[in-house]
Amino acid sequence: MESEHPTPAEIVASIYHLLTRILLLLPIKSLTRFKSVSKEWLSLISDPEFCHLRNPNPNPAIGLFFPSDEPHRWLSLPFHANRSIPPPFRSSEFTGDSLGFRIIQSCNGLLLCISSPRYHKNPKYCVYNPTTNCFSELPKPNERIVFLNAVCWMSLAFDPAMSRHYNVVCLSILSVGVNSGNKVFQIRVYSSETGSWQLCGEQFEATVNFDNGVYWNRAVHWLGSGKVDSFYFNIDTQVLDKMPKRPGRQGWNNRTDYYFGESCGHLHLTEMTGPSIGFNVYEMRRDYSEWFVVHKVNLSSIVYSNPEMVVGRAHEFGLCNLVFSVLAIIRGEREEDSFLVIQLPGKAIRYNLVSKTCENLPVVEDTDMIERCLMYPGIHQGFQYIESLSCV
Amino acid sequence: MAAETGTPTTLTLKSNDDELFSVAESAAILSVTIRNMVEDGCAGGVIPLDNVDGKTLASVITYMNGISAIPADEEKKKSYRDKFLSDKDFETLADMVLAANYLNMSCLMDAVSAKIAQVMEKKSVGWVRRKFGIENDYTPEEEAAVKEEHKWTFEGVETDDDN
Repeated sequence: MESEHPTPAEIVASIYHLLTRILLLLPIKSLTRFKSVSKEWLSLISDPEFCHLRNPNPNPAIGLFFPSDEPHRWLSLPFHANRSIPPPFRSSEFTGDSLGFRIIQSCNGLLLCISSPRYHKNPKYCVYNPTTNCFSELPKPNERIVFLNAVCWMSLAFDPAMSRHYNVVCLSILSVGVNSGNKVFQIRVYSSETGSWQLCGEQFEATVNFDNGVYWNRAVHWLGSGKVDSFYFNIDTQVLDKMPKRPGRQGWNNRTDYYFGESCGHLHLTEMTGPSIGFNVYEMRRDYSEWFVVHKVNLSSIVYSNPEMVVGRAHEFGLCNLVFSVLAIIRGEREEDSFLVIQLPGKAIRYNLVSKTCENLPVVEDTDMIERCLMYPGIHQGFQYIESLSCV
Repeated sequence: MAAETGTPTTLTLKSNDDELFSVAESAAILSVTIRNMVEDGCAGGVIPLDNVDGKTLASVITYMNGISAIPADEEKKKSYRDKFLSDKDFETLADMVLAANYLNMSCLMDAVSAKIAQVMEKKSVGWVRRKFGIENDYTPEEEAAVKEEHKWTFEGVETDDDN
């Protein structure tokens, strides 16, 4: 199409540093679309260095993936009406079977997934980027390790501000102590840079379950329950350490309902300690000295406009049991952009932590299915969708 | 640089189609290319700018004068840049990127690049190919496959009726 007298735009497109400068300023959705322009643009936009430069910082989630009642399908719940989010694994099925997959962790734009069903003899793990629709299957850490959910846990550690490569931490149970009943663990770490697993440190005993790991502050964190300690494993120092005790009112032992997650460099925890009209949002200090309260959430206005979340009779303290669950805590670039995503029976709402106002999540397709899948808060967790061009 | 004599120094710039422009040195040295020439003492006569045509140079000089008249206030500078670029068509913006690149004016470059990205944001793949003169080297099957893979990114794209 090049003519003898190229237009200014044609000249711009032919000068690499001018073209990349413009492309780096485009929204990720537009960039992904423009992969269809030509093979040259595809390779430019897929280039790891380009993708690394394009990742915004901070980069708050713009939606959630939530399990549907069909095993091979996940719901996409965007937070904002003007920002659509992709459906995960619509066209590619990494498992190769019809049983689908489960997301087990979301970490700065990448998802760690496992082939279903849960106790499949030999499940596969993959790291998936839902924005670019690319995935990479993880090799087994060791031929003798069984990739079984009950004896082996995987967590993703990825920080695009530090490196374009990611790590996966694998904790596997080697044995169970005869006298103590404690499990004996071994840690291995996978690096996407080398494509291989490395043994980390000595075997150790613990009682904790290393599932639902959350990445923050160069470490993966696991929350203990009841009397069990919480731990974190630092990727750089490769040291496993204890976290401070969980906050909240003492005496409520059955802390079944909590939210533990990360957003834009903040590690959050909420504790729903029995019948109460509100709860605290805690944040961990970077030096692990304590959990401190960042927000006090009062649910009365939400309860008032959503009476379906009240169940049973008034409690002896004059309070009711409320049916809800925190799906996400999202921090914005500005404090006033911070919000909670709360699941109520049949729907999800956004609750702004500063203005203390509520909004329904934007209406998308499949409203019937969404209502059905969101009917019982507390059963499933959501996984943050963060736009990213990061390569897997 | 010229010594401070009380009266502002004026430079004469010549476009590649031989138009001459007078501009205050204090505004012109927003261009690192021109500043280097001034510092090297090449600014005695006329400064030839071989890669910029008269129409684009006139626009760039308007920008130089406008932005240098604003005191150090990033908000006001930004709103000036937005207003300055608001009525420019796509070809003019492309001309200005090339001029800003040649003249080494990073603030103009950033603003024009951002404006072009803003124009492109909701455009179709066909529009981008036409405007940038890019040949579609996909086979129809390959193109269908890459579009299918990123189907969700084709929602909300402007209809493809721009020449």
